[in-house]
Amino acid sequence: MLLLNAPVSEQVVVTKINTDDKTKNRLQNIGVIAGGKVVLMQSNFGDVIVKVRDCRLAMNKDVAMRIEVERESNSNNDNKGESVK
Amino acid sequence: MKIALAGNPNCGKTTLFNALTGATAHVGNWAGVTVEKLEGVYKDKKNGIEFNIVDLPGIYSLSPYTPEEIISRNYIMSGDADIILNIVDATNLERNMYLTTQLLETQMPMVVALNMTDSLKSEGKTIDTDMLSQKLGVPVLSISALKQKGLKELMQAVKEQEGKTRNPVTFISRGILADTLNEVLLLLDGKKDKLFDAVKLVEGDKLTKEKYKDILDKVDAIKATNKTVKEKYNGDYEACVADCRYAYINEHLSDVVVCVAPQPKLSKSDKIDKVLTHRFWGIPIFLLIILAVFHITFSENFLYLSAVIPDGAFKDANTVASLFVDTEYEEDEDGNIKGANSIKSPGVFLQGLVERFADLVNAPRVVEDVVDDNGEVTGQTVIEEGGWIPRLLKNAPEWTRGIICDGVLSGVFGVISFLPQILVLFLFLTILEDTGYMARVAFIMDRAFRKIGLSGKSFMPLLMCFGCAVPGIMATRTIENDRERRSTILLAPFFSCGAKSPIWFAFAAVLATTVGWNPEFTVFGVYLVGIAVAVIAALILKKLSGQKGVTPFIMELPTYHAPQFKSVAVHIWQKLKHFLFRAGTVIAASTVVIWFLLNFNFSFRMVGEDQSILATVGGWFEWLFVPLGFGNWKFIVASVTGLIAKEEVISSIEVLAGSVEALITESGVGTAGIFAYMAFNLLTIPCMATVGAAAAEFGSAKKTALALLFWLATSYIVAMVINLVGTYWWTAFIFAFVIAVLLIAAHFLEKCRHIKTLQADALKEMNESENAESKEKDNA
Repeated sequence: MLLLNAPVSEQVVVTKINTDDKTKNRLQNIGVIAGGKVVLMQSNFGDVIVKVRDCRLAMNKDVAMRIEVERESNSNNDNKGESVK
Repeated sequence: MKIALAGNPNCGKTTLFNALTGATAHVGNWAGVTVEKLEGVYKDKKNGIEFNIVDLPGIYSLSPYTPEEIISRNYIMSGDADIILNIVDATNLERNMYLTTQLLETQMPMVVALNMTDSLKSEGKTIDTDMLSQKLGVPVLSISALKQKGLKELMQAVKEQEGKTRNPVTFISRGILADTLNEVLLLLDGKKDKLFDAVKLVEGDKLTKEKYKDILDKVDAIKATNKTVKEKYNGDYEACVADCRYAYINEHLSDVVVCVAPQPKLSKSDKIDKVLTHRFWGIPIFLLIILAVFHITFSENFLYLSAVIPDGAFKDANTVASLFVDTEYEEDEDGNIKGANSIKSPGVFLQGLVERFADLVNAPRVVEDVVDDNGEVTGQTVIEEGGWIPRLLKNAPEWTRGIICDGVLSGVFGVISFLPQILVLFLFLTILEDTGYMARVAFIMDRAFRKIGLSGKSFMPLLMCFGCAVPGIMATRTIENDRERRSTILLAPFFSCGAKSPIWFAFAAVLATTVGWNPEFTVFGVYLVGIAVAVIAALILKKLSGQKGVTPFIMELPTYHAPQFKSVAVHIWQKLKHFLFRAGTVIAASTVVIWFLLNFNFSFRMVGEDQSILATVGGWFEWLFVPLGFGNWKFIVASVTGLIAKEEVISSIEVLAGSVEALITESGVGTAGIFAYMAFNLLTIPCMATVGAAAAEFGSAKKTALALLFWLATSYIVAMVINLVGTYWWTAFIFAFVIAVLLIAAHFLEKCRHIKTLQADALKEMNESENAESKEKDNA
């Protein structure tokens, strides 16, 4: 599931970041990493506000469509999610 | 001793810097306010402490991403500072610790200051500072930079670290990276900051790789042997290092935050965001807020109360009351009164107050000669006493009075009378910025900005340009994409700055009396023209560059807070001081020069203004501006003086013609010409200070020259279109046709370019496959 399609106000786990290296570096520095938890707060036509740890990040569709996430409950059964951790 | 303030963006470094040094550097509630390093001195005479303090732009990590982050990283690593003071936003501890764990890898002594502990408390959480200090191995102190709490203790703790050394520590040395890191460390044996550099080499940081070009092969060989990283992270060491850091922070550092009250699902900020960043209402709400700000600043009819107040209610108001209300009215033949029923907005009221003061000081003294029956002058009668200064100088020679009253005083007062409105406008913009709302606007505007080839990142710098283009242009450093950054700088002058606003206010006031336009709408209209031109120019720049696709936009949204009286007041005070300083120096001096050029001819004789130096030189250029509707030398001279400082346009007009109204009457320029003139001044080459800032950011004389040409051409074309369409409405069709042709041409140009790149790619591929084939043959 892509971040921009994630359910609103529900905690999800990032599984993969498919952006270019520079953006990936920025996302890492600001707290978005594979295996990390994020909450989608709001989606405006694909532009999103997400809560990461205790801060709120705004990102545009271009970034939000390159971040793969999955529901937290699934990730426990899923080996892929575990392996990243 | 030198202290470097390092920390995440918007964690309060500059607030602390101001509190410690008594400086008044700009503070705002968004990430990226500080883009340059600032220096100041902290003094505590009682304890004999004196430190040099260096404030740095905020960074999320020591692997920098934007130009201003590189400034911080380079400064921290330069070893110029003796100690790092790491400021940590307590409400966002985990993310802030990401930087702290990197700072601990350097050899510098360090103290951690936990800022915003009071807001943490109101969220129902506390932090165990002793535990955190133990875990990090450096002193940790709670402070509140805003309320100036705990600062003395903090400085004492810093003092205790003086001269001490600290063993660098890293938290990534235990997991899967242990062997790799140790082997790289061996390569760097004996080097300064070897642990930091080793970690950065493992991570693959660009700046460190450049530093150790000679051993890169060895590092890569070591990294290639780590199979776990290859399997788990696909060889992505950067992700691996980040992951290890966060894993450590999650496991060991996050338990220092203790929740003492139940946490609500949605915080206050989240609830406000649900409304203000709403997908449909977000932009309309923003426009309404801005319109309201303009209304409070410029409206002659506050809250449109004239709808409920009967006509003529204020027609007999006394001098004091007339400051607050409009007393002008018209009476028709039947004795019905219209008007005199509106209340002035705060901005207009304050402006009236300053104008009264200006009149008191410098109202012209009007005298008439008394002529006896033989036609001989026997004396003078005073018709109007005039202000203090004209009365004081009534016996002084004519040129002295001219230079002081008609030159300096009328020029300077002409500008200062708009100061209240500038301040009211910026008071509101500063409040909006300080609450954290403007960062949200950058987010909701991103979609619109993307359509014209920019991103929401350009919003804050451009918004700052409404204040002054110089800091606005410097703020473009937060934009990662170079093309976007250059375009943003080119567009910066189109966003009407505070110094230009007296031009709009003055002309809007005249238009209100001559054609009855609402002044707040005229001024708002000028701002809109600037924005519209910026949009079109951005589109053209996008087409010219031929760049496709959008750049990623990631921005932190700060927590909302009530505007801080102190930071807002400091900001407004700075603005006031800056404005008055300029009025007293540059503007006063140039009015003298202009008065001289206006009253003397080339042989330095005092003459009528028609034979003056200015009239002669200005006259040479009049023909150039005829298509723009203001082919009159006084308009041209005023515009040229605007290059020194934009306030000069109005102060020059005051000297040249006495007032804006007088200039319009004497030159006979029509409404279309007036609006074209405003547009020309808005869009043309900005003041010298702005050109200098832009040149510094471009870093190339050629690009700066092109920018000057771009501004000049844009202003000329737009002013001409406004004048011609305003005078002959049917010319609108001609311009629409020209624009359509240009757009079609641009579209085809883009297509051709696209086909060419496709062809080039295909050719390259063919060549490559041919090469590969021939190589295979050779091998065979």
